[in-house]
Amino acid sequence: MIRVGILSAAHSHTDAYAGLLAGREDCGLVGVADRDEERGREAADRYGTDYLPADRLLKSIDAGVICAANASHLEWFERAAMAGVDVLCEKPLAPTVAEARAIVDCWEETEIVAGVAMPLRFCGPAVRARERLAEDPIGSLRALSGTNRGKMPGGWFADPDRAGGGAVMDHSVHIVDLATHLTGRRVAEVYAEVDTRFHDIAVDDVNVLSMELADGTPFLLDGSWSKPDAWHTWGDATLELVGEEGTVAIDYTDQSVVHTTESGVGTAFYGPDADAGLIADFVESVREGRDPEITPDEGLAAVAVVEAAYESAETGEAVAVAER
Amino acid sequence: MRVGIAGAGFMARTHAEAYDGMDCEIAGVASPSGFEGFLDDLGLESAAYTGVEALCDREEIDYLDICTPTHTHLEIVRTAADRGLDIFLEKPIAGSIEEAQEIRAVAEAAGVALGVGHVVRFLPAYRKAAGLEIGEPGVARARRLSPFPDWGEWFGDREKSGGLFVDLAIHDLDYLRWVWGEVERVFARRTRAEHAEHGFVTLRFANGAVGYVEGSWAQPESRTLTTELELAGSDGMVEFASDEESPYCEWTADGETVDRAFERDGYRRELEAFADTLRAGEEPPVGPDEAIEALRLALAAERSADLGEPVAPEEVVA
Repeated sequence: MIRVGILSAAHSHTDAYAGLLAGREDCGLVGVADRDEERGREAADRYGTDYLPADRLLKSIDAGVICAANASHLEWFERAAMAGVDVLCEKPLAPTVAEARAIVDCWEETEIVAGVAMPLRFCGPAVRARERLAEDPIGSLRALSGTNRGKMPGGWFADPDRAGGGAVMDHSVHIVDLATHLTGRRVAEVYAEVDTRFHDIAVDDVNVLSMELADGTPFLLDGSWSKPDAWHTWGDATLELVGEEGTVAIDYTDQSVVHTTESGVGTAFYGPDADAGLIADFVESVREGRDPEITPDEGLAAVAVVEAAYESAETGEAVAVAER
Repeated sequence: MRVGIAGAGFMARTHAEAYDGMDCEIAGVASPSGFEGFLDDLGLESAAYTGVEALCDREEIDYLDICTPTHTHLEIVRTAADRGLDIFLEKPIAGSIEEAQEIRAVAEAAGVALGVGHVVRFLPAYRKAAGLEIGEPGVARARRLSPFPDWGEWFGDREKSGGLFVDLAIHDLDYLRWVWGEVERVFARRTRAEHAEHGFVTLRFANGAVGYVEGSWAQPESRTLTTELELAGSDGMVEFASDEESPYCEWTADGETVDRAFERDGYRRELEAFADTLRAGEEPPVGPDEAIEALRLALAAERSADLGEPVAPEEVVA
């Protein structure tokens, strides 16, 4: 039995991860720690577990899931690692390259098992694409085009101090990581059009990235918080890969039924649960003492793209993503 | 109205089909490279010429509809303008700003009307989308993906066609400029091969909004033209995808027919609108000024892709 804990319940994904962990026969959910006691107690009640001080929780678990705001990832990561607790960290790994680098250093020094929660790699269409691309059905790549548009999540996501940024921070890394996962190539250059146009908030909600992979393949990504609150679902996640011999396209949420009630039109997702794949992989990696699917160095690579995007928005020029 | 068509290729066929049922008679068609069943396929009894001059001289026509490759536009515009004929010209107006300005000047000097075929403005879905309330403009998304055009060898010669941005992406560049106004800067990337090209352009509008146009001539034959449009604003959003449009479907032993019934209707509407303005003695709905600005955006994208830097369209003067 692997003893697991929730290290902050700040992130809206917490419920999904905690629910999956609590539902596994090979895991015991020991408790929730949170700097915000009220939030922590509420979460613990929802999951039928205990709210515990962080030090006590860290002493009684094998692994923890960091669902803190971005700016607190490093602190939680270091505390867990010092306690010898394995970690699954919410994305983005950190709001800056410097902090992400510090997480990678800590991971390497302490040799804990550590993963980054970018579950798209585990979604059905992405798994299928990875398998198919290994058979090379579309030849060498000509271009990539993706979207990760969504509603504005509000709360700390729109707080520059706690999130470190807006849509660029929140909605770039999923598709950037997936593109690298599927092509084997990292983003080498970013030109970004960034702004705040949709909401009265202190962070960006326009996030249009014109990128180039290391082999020169152009890669377009719209990760804006551009979906109205009344839209039928939280957002989307798509990626299209155009090659010399054909095109492969994946659309994660296009496995949904339409559900209309008095309060409006919604969609209900019925596809395979990517979060379940992510959690299963993490739990297995803890048990086997191996790396999970997505390791902190890969989380760092995605954060480097985010930082380059903000730099491009600042300078108005294409920015090289440094080898960091 | 009586119209002469210059060209007998894919676009000439498309226009000829649009004229069928319109109050327009195709009096003559000119093509130096033959007709390849053009007249028979369409059931036309129009007079056939190898030269545009002969068509213009011998037929009584109200205007010349120019559906020839881009690099031939200027010469044919001269031919029509010299004879005082009004002109409808397929997009792009020309391959360079200089040539486009020359075309405008030739028409102006001759006092003839010049309309340019930016058909996307007339496609019913795009036209409907343009008028819907979304609050302040935020992000515009426009995609246009197809196999490499196989209906003319000249497309492969970028000197003649201008390439992906100038020939294909210009549709959406023009549309977005029409809907959201002037563009301050563009940044573009693309990949090219002999018979394939794929690229995208990000746009920053003068009103502060952001947009992007993705175009492809790199799809396999199995993926026919696919278009997508999204206009997202502070108070709403409009979405359209051609592959979700199937108002008429038919399945028989011979296979499947999905009739995007109104796809062609844009051509009918643009040509009717042009003919209507001629009858009324008004300016064409899309004239050379608008067509030149659309071309400037496409050329700015070309330059940006070459330089790897953002480009202000106003810098593009040649």
